Amino acid sequence: MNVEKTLEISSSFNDLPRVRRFLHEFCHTYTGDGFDEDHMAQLELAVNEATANIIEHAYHGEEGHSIQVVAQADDAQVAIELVHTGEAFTPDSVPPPSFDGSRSNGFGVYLIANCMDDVQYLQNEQGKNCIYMIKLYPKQES
Amino acid sequence: MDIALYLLRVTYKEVISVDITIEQLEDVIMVTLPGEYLDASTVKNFKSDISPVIDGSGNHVVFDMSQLQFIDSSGLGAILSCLRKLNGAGGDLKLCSMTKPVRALFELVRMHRIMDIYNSREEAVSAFK
Repeated sequence: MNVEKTLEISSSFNDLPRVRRFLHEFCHTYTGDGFDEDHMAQLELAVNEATANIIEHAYHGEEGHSIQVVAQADDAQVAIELVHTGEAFTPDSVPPPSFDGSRSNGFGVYLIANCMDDVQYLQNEQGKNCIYMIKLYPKQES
Repeated sequence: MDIALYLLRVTYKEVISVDITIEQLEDVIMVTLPGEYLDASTVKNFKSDISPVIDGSGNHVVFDMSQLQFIDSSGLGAILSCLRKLNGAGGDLKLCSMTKPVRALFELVRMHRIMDIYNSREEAVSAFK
């Protein structure tokens, strides 16, 4: 089964809960037994962080711009594409997190990379900037 | 034990209305973090609301996190900031009653090694004695 659903939000932090609810409902509806609650939580966290990064870095916190959240599911994985028209965001521009508690920022990119199986920052066929993320279903033990 | 109960009523601007509850338990201030999530949409209000308890104080503070079902990197950063401010003034912060998804985030970024986390409010308060 291949299914694709899209949510369009404004570049406002207030829309982050909408994004998480959209993903939660999408996974519950279309991934069957593919994800358990822990995997869904990781997916929601990663997409939340990536969306927040687009608002903060690509749109510089300016509200009123569009972000498309495209969710696709098949028999092996869920893919999320976040499409925006802001500046290209490169994870290299963010300093790595400090694990000794001395700094409060820098965890977002780390969380995205550790919660997803593949993350790409690229331009789509329409020339729009996007963050493309894949999370594979965990292998079922026989 | 004398328990003075303070209620600091806060109404968030967006979808939900929540209360931060601040209780004075002898020399420990117990703060129940409000709402189901602490993310980039709520963290600004959280910082503002928690500031009187944290800024420039050497308080002994416990955050009861039992209501939180989701926290992101901005919420985590705000809590780390509270810890640093309290430590800088001779105080300390302990966390308790974390839900499973919140605990998972703290472990993912290894903050469970930096912060004192307890299963219950009682354990967290006792740890200050």
